[in-house]
Amino acid sequence: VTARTKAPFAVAALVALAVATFAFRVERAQACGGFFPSTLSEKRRPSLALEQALLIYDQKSRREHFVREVAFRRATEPFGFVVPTPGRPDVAAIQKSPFRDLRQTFGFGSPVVPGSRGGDVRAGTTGGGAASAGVTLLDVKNVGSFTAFVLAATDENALSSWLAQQRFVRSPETSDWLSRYVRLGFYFVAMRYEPKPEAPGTKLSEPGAAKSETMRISFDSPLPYYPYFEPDRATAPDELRMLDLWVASDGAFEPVSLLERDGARHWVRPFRAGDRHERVQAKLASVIEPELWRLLPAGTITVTTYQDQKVSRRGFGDVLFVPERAPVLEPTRRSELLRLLPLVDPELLPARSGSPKP
Amino acid sequence: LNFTSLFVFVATGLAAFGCRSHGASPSAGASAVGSVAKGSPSASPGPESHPKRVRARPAASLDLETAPGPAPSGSAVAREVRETAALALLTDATFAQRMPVLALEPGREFDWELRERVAPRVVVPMPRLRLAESTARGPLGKEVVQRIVRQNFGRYRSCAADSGGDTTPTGIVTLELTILPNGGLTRVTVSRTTLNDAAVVRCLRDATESLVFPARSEATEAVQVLEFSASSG
Repeated sequence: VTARTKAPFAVAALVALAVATFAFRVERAQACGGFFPSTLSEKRRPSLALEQALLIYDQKSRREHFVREVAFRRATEPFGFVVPTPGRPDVAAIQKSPFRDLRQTFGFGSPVVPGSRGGDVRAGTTGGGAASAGVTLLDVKNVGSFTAFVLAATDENALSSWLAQQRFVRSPETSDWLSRYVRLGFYFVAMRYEPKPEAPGTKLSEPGAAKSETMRISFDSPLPYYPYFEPDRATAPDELRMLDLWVASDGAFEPVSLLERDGARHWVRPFRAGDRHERVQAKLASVIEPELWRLLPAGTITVTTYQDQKVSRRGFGDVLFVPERAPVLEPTRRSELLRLLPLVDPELLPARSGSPKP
Repeated sequence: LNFTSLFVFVATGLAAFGCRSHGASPSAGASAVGSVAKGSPSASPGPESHPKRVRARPAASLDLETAPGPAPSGSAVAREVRETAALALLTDATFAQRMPVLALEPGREFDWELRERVAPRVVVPMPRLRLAESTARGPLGKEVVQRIVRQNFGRYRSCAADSGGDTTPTGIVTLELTILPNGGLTRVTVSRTTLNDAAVVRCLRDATESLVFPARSEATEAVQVLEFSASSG
């Protein structure tokens, strides 16, 4: 909890915090940014294999719907992860995964370039009930195999302690990670995953593989936001990982993130762009279910596809999507964007509570 | 320092990049770099019936070493300057479009088959399939229609089992067929379904289109309902 790092962090991605169970204590961080039982050897710890996401963003209302499905290897033990969000999140299960149909309809481009380098700040008093001083539990939902806790926090130590009480495990790495988001005024969706038997009649061909339920997290954000930042993680040389992303919005965007490497800071595009499909609102509505198409912004829709095959996200911050046609930077919008600036320049991070401001 | 470069860009309205400063009007940002698609939906609200597919954007023109970024920790850079630079990045896509793309591990090529290797395979059992209601108007009796359709059960079941979904699709599909005198089909329509899986329905329709019926003197209009249910096993 007391760990301090000078690393930038553009804030967070989805950090996997593992969950200690009643049966054993979790003591250290491991692959995927997760925390797994120390009784597990490195080769047996879960790792994220495939991440599929649909990011629906309405530029007018500045509302994001982040729909994601993840698949893990070796997910035989309980674990969890925390997703930070700039605005207060609403969590819901998606009944029918959209990703197979999205992949068939909105592809990632053909292999022509195989070598391509390739809102509201916490009030602390809203709903859900108090958790402890400095932490507000805003909501609890069961979403399939997950229990999702929606949290706001003003004190990083209190948040870390609260998560530990809920069998999420803390370590210097995760405490530091949480601290950054607390300072940013972000909210948190802490998801505790308990492996359970497959649905009747369904099985995964790879032993130990686990595929999460598809989940939607909706929140206000002045720019489309992808929680990408992860704590350092050791990756096996032969480990493979992939992210498929569809961005559906009333505009087109360019994803950027901070990269800290070898002591230098750069701004980069962390995803390989696939195809852009313009004016596809009717086509999109035909391949996704009403539970999702009702979330689409009005007017013409552009779907842009992205892929990422990095195994390690070490040094990368969260991803923000810059609109190709940015609205005029009037004072209100400027004020909203100021909250996100620390994601691309860590020196702009607000001071820790109790610390003098620079 | 990278930030020095960025500061120059910001101070000069990012002119070196062909970018606008963040305070400029939105239309000023339309000067996209290279062959980047310029037609945003808001700018060209064409009819829904004219969707457009645009190829992937070109590779970045900057490498990592020359890509700008925020000033390092401890630099004597004013907070206002940092904010200006970060705002420029987040409000001007033409700036972002010049940044290097890092979507791969160093030294690796993009792997088009990777997804097939990392995605866990969901194996669902073959569904049960039976013929439900059927009608036929014309020289082909409904028994003949049922017999030909039943011969295609293997393909129908594969459509459901290979759906890629997490569970076996269940429900009914009503197929409307127009059978030519020569036994071929001129029309296959799915008039009703409760399968709730568009891809499976498309597969079923495609599988039906290849059916060949006995030749007769006239055309036959037939309706056949297929019922999928979960396998007991």
